[in-house]
Amino acid sequence: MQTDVSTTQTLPNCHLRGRTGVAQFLRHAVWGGLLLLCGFWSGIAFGQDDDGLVEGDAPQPVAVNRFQISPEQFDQWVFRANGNARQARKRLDSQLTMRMNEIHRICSLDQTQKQKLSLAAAGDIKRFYDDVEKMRAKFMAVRNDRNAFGNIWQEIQPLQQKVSSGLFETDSLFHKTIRGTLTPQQRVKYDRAELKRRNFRFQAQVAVAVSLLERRMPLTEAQRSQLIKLISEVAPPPLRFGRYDQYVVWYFASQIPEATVKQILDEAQWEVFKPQVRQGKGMQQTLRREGYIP
Amino acid sequence: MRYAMRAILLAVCLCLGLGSPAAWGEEAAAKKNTTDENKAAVTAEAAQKDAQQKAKAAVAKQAAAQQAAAAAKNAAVAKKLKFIAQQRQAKQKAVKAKALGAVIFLQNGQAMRADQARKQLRNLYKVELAYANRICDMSPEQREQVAVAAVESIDVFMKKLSKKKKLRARGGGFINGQATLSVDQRATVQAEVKKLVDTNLRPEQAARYLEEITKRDKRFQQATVQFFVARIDEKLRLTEEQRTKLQKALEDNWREQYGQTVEVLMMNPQFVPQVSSGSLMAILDDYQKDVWRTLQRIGPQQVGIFGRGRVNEIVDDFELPEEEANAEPVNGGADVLIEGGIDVLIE
Repeated sequence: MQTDVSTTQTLPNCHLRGRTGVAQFLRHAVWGGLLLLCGFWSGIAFGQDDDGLVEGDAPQPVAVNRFQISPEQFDQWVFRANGNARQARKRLDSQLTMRMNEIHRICSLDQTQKQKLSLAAAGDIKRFYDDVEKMRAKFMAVRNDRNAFGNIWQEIQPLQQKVSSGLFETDSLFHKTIRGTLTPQQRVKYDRAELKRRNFRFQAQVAVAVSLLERRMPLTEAQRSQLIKLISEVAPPPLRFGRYDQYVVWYFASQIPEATVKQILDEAQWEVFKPQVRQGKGMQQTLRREGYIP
Repeated sequence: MRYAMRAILLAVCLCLGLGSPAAWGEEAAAKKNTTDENKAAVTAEAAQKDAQQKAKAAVAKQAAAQQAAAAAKNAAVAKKLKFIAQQRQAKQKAVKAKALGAVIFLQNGQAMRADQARKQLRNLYKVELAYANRICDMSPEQREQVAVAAVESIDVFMKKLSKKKKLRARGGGFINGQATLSVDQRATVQAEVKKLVDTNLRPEQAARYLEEITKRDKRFQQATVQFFVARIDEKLRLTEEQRTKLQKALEDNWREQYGQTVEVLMMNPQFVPQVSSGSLMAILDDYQKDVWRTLQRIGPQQVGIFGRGRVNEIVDDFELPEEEANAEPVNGGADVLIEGGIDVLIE
């Protein structure tokens, strides 16, 4: 990264400096005061001599802006492990082939269906690269401007996340085209496979969440098995997965009747479990808004 | 005659040489005056010399006094500077000793005092003892016996932690100028409680406990591996056969570090776990391999000596004897930090 920042600031580690820092500050303040005083007096003195000067004659200080970010940095940020745009394109092709193979494996696609899906994927790829080029133009315009650059970084991040999570996920043209392309029989097969995958993942999630809870609330094997079963089966698995996965588990746990849970846990365990599910329940709106639950 | 002539001649010569008696008187007076003058001059010169010498001596004395005063002043300044330097050194030494003496851990960047760390350690013991109690159904006498032994065990544990920290400090493990220790001690606590159970409970109770903890460990491993497979499946769209194969491969080649990855993985959906490459590559097709290479992998994360999470909200129904408020703190009760977090930022 070729970032050349002329006024790099080091954040003071105040809590470690203690008295030394205060003394230093006072010293600086005294010196600063003296300098200001000198400046003030000299200002008066110069003012007496400056009567003949025309305003604007004095040379103005030139601000040197050495903030620079190399053009290559853009690709590194957006494509990360993929290297650059060309290499990323190759990987996207692999990703697409992987997805097409998967759907074909489940649904046995015909040639027309394959073409239709490929076209949709090409649309996603084009849309993505169009966005990348637009962003690149913006980046090039502000890469030497520290103030403007702060904002563009916010805009680059979604592109980065898109590459990382894949271009053919839930909101993609490809994903939307799948349902319209498959025949009803194929759709059933596809949905079944998807449900199986989601169930597998949700069960893993519940088991891990319960294991982590056991660090504070130990369970016997019998209690553990029952609790995992109850949470996993209270409702169909979430519609999507993401950073709220842990809350989803406790939201689902909050859907289990209290009396049922109390049959499994003893009083002391319930006291620990209660705030956990309360927190999960409190996340309901967020989970709905983010598309985890219907 | 000849002798008379000689006498006369001698007398004439004497007369000529010594002058007349009158001249003698004048000469004598003049001579006296000259002598007096000379004497006075000599005296004055001597007095002048004496005065000069005295003045010189006075100047020399004054200079010597000044030199002595300056030397004394310099000596005092040097002494003062030496004292300040000594004080500073002593202070630095004390700070260093305190840093070395402190058991320093970091838990998600949060600092913690020694007594707080001890409290958290007690909580870990309490949770594990509550677990043992549920499984072994201890009698009140057994509970009391185990509780007393547990407190002794905690003391030993803290001392061991302190020693580990010192070793780490010598090895250069400093964060913010203080020695650190960041190994998760939960497994060690579990092993310590198992020892307490083995020592203080009946063999059949200990056997039941052993059976339960084996199941618990197995369950945790299974859950972790299933979670890993699910995360990899999400990114690589595995077939059912691939999922089963990968799950088996990871369970057969379980690594303790997987347990330290799962928690952070759950909160960060963009990552995939860093698993044994051999196990995975044997299962994936070429396209999946290609995509795998671009994914952001994450390995075991240091989660601090007491792990992550709310360590104070625990099942608290196994009483431990209260510790004395003035109990001697480990290493003078210096601050304790607990290390953890995805990335610990070190200034």
